[in-house]
Amino acid sequence: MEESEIIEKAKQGDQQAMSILVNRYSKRVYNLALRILRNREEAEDILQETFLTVVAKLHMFDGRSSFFTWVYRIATNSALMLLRKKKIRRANFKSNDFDPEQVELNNLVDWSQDPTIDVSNKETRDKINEAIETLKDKYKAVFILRDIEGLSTREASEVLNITEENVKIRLLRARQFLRKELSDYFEERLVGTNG
Amino acid sequence: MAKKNQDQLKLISEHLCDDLDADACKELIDVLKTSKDCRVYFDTVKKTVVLCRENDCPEDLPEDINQRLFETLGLEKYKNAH
Repeated sequence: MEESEIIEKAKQGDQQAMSILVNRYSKRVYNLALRILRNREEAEDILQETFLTVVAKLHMFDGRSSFFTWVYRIATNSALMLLRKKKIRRANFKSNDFDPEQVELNNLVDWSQDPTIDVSNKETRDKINEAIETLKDKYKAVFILRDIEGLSTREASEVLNITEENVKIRLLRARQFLRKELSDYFEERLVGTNG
Repeated sequence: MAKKNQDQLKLISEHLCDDLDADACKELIDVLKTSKDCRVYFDTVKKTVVLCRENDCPEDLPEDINQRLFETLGLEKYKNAH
């Protein structure tokens, strides 16, 4: 059965059709929430909240965006709202002080070919997680949707309700910040190894 | 200089998204050929994204969480509908 037919049936109160939609997207919504919040209990809260909203507001879904991006928009908004409420170490967010205009393309160290850098190393994994954790929410959302989840620029713009140009700008900022964080760490390691 | 840097960085970022048209792509290739720092920047951004992706481990939805979801929605009867 086509997804549009399932959605129509669910709109008319068909519980089986609604369950098919839940089963189709629950894992992705859970993982999206987990990526944004990094907490399983909170990810479960967002999962429940998202599908309660889907059930309550499905009649408002008009098919202008895909059903998937509509569900993702609900989930992303809920997760970002919870993230704001938590106000975790707000003042310490390094990316608040990061000025992308100050990125200098001078004497950069190339650590990209270092064969010892890989995610099987716990310290490297911790560093990557810490860098993503310290991204500003608006950059983090774009980075997760585009670079981790693999959504297109257009899909990410629909999910976040921002222009495609804004998606590109935020993604650029996120990548610049993450590259800087990892560069500081890996360059230090390279110096330590070589000298 | 800062503006030129930003334009080059934007070009590099968009290339990683495959959002470049043919002309912009050619421009990027020229930049990467002539500027060692741009090449390093490109490679390290690319590696950053690759590392973040490799570090990401999607989880299966735990059965107890799935059960509670369907209970919350009042859809337990159709939990196995696909």
